[in-house]
Amino acid sequence: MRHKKSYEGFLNPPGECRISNEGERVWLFVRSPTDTIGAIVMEPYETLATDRTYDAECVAYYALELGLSYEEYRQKIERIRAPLFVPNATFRSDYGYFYEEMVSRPVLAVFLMGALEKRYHEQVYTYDDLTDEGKAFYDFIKTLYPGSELYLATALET
Amino acid sequence: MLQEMDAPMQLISKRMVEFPRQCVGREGTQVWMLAYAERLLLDSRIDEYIPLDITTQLLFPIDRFIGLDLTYKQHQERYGELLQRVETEPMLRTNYLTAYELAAVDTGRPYLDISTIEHPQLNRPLMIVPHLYGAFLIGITHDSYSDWHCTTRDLTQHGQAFYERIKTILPSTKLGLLTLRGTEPLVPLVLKSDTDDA
Repeated sequence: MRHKKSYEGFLNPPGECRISNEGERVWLFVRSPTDTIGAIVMEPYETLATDRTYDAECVAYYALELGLSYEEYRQKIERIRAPLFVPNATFRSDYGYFYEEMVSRPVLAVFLMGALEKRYHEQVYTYDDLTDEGKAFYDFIKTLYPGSELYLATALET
Repeated sequence: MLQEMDAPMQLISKRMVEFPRQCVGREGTQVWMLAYAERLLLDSRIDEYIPLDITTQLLFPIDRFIGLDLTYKQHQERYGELLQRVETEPMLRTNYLTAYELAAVDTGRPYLDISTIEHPQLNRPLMIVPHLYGAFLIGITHDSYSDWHCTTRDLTQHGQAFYERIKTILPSTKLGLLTLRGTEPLVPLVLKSDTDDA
């Protein structure tokens, strides 16, 4: 049974059956049409993929299984994610190291669409996995920021 | 050139912030609506289920900070106190923060604080806005103003409606309105290739 708390927000997972005991979180990123305006934020911890990059990331993963080196796989993933997330060279600790792996390019908005105590989605959340209210919110945000690209990033809570 | 100057206004299709009519410069101003996870801010009711890592944060250099509606009153009072003390306590003059910045830090918690995170291209300390469910850029202009920061009274009907909407989506949401100097990103994005070339 899913948790009663309303952290579910706008999420409507495809099934009631849990995949694992890891929680899942879904973030909406509104990528600014220009790099000259917005906020740079950390990539959510344990991000699986975004709705717009999942298929390509799966292809890279299959290639890894078929013998692609891990280094080449990492480079492929970096290239796939590059429109939204880039390796962190922006925020460093006062000891001089960059402890978060990836940060976003400038975004006009970022928002938690929901978080679940268990994992219910085998893949990543897409527009179709939002409640009707969630879809309406997503559509509103899309019209609010014309020219921006919207991403839904699914992250696991380990 | 004109098209370039108008670009910030075109990023947001609905006018949410009523900026003052009188501007004093062209430094730029931006307003962010912040959705805090209040339970995490208060660090209370820790027995309740709160998913891990459900918040994010914003970081910006302290000299960009104009005001946060949640702390503005205390910030101004503290600033006044510090200005008086500067006359009698020379040590304050050598602080690496200005009196305005120091007052912001003194009165910011738990909504904002000075960060230990640094930016390789900036020499001013960063401020951190922690425990956010999210943040939305709701107003941006090339103009700058004297003694103005955004409050709920400065929101248009669209802004008010959006404010009320965001408040209801996730539990214990507390909203804030953050006003910053400039139109540029909160911090410059540094790419690995930039650092490789350095």
